[in-house]
Amino acid sequence: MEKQLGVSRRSVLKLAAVGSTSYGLTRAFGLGNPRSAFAQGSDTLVAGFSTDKIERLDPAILQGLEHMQIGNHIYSGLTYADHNLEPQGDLAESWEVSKNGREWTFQLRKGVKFHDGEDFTADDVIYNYNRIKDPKTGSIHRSRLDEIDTIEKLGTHVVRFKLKSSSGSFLITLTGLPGRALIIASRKSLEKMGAEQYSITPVGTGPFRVAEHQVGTKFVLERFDDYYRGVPKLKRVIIIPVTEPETVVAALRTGEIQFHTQPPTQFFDILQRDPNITMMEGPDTGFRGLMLNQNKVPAFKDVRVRLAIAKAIDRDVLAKRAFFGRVLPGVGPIPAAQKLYFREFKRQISAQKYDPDTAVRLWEESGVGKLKLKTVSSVAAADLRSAQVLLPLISKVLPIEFEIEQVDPSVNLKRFRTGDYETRVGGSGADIDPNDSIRDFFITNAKFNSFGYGGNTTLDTIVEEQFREGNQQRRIALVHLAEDMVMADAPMAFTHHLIEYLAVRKELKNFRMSPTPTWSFAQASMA
Amino acid sequence: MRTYLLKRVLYSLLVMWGVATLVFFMLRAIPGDPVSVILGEEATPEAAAQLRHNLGLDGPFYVQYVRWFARLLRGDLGRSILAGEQVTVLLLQAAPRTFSIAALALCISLMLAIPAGIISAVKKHTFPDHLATVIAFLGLSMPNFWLGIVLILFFAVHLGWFPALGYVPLAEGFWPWLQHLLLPAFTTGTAFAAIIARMTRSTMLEVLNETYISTARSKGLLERVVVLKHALRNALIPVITVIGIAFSLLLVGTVVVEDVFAIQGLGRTLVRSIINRDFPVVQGAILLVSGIFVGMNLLVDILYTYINPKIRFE
Repeated sequence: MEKQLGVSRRSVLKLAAVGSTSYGLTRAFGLGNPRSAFAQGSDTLVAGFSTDKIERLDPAILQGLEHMQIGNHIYSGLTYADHNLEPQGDLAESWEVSKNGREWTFQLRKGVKFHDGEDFTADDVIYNYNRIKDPKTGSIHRSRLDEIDTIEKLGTHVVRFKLKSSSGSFLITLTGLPGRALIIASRKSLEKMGAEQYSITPVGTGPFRVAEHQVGTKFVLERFDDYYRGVPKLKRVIIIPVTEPETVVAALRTGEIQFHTQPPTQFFDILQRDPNITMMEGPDTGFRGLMLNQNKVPAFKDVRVRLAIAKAIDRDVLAKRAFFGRVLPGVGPIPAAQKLYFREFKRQISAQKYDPDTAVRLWEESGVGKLKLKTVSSVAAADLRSAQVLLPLISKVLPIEFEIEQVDPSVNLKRFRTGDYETRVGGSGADIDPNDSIRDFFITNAKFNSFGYGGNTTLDTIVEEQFREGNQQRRIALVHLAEDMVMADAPMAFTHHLIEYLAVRKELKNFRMSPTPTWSFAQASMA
Repeated sequence: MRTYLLKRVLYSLLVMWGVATLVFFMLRAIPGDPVSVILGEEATPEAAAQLRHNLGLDGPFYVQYVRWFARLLRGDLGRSILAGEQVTVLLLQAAPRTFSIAALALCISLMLAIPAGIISAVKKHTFPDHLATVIAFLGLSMPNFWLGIVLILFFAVHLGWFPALGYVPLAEGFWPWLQHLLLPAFTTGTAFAAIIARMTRSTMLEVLNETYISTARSKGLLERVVVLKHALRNALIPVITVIGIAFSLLLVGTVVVEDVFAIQGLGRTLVRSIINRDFPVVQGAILLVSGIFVGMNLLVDILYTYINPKIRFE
């Protein structure tokens, strides 16, 4: 045997000894039972977030969905938005509104503590208001407080706001949601740490406090035992940035993470088949589409051209090919999460509904002929895929040749702000009120209106009227009217609304899905 | 030797300064800026201007450069524009992770490659040689992100032997540290092992044809002694050059593997900072990496003199 195979018995025995010793060592030292880098006990949740790193959590400049989701666990506002996006009392226990709707007097909750031990009082509300309004702070949310004329302290726990006019959405402005401008940050910690350090380890009044932050690696939240709305059951939440789709799936399946904010849509079937994982689904709070810049492309000044492009888009095909069927085809700016304002039948009545014959007719009537257009898209997979599917769909109907310009985030944002694009794949997110969806984008000189749309004074008037309207039913009617006008004017070709998916392992209990960024781990526990 | 070393160190510092200066100005010349990333779509011109002022980005480039260089001479690499954290802290957190992956990748590669190269050379044109060649080409042509994903699927998800992501510092235990590094290190080291194996084979073949090898054999020495003691030592000289340079490349080449395994190492930190225009982090990381490159080159040159006493510094 030895000579035929050219292998000696001694070699075989040596190999067998090495093999069994190796196996024994792996079992003895637990090499076969890998310990997660982040697991720290059965009352600890490890949550994967779809972001490179967690940065700049100072409320003055806090933006970005993932940061908002995290900030929601650390901060509070005078109100909070519930799962129906309706404002409820938070740091404010109750409030009274004057007859003319311009004076709002809030009774603040007593006994509330910041994570640093300081008591929350009316002084903190005024401090944060002044800080956001101060130009030296450089807050991006400053304009949200423009409707406030004055703020005064009436008692240790009483504060009054006087508005410039009545408002239908003032309570939303006061929610603790990041981006709402009046998040209550700790004055003592801000002054002690400085804004730079505060951005890394913020201090608020929310259900969790920041225990540790290794930028890019992990962000550790610990439950706050003095939380006024009930101490969370979870002792710790460890947030780790995980973006690679395959790694997200693997980590969920092995249980190294028990939650992920954006499970990759291309692997849904795999995740859904896993009995340990539940895919939670809910309407997103934004809209997406193709922005048509009238300042850069004169042809876009003709509404027939804009409408033709909007009508040339088969949104069902787009949803299927670019997003694996996991988005809601959309024709207007109001997202499904804004339940009071969203109309399911909108697709049937919208001026932008798919109608290639009318698209061709409108195009020919405009006399614009052939067009060559550049489209700015971020390098993010979803946006790029969207552009790669959307643009050929339009070109199939209309004589337009598109060229995609892929740009990285800093260039994309700069070009959006400065209006340096012909067309752009983009949209909005975290819109919990119609003002976010319509007023911020589609009135003349709106803050996100970098695509040269404006001059529709009727629309401007209606949007301002709904902004001031205190009666909910009247406000709903005005919002619908405004949305119809925006769809008919087609400043952008709306394409879809995202559906929010969260991947949750069975170990995580009592977690309730609600529209981003309002969901929270405050009531959740681990099995 | 001392004079030579001193000259090399001074030259290295000059190279590092040149690289850092070039990177400083290039970063500011390319489109995009960090303020856009920090403030996002809601950025108002006033907020952007204020933030630019607060971060010291509103002065002329040469003023920013002088400020940065003055801080650098004091050992201060500045703060990350996006994260607000000290650059030194970020790099001190990231570097050990990348070093660990690269060092383990190097060990695994050498453990696989050198024996494979020796066997290939000694058993030239036989089955072991052909097998080693095929495996080497496979290792070279496989994209390492694909390999990483496959390894995760098989060893982490199906077998449950290793974790799918993360890093445990060595201070928290040797075995957890090793467990978390084995898959990323193997992924990183595969292509490198292939190169070393081929190179070892090639240099061994050359050396085995030398007359002193024939002399050694004719003296009646065991073949094992001829190969390992007489041939290998000389064959390794060019291989060591490659190892030195490759280790430096491994340190920055781990970005894809770091992404796949969600490890915030140097590569991932550097690439993300470039994308987001986080100038201080890019500058600090490039400075560190260029220091490593020149240091490795110097170390390799010194190692030569020990491996081959005939080599002396002029």
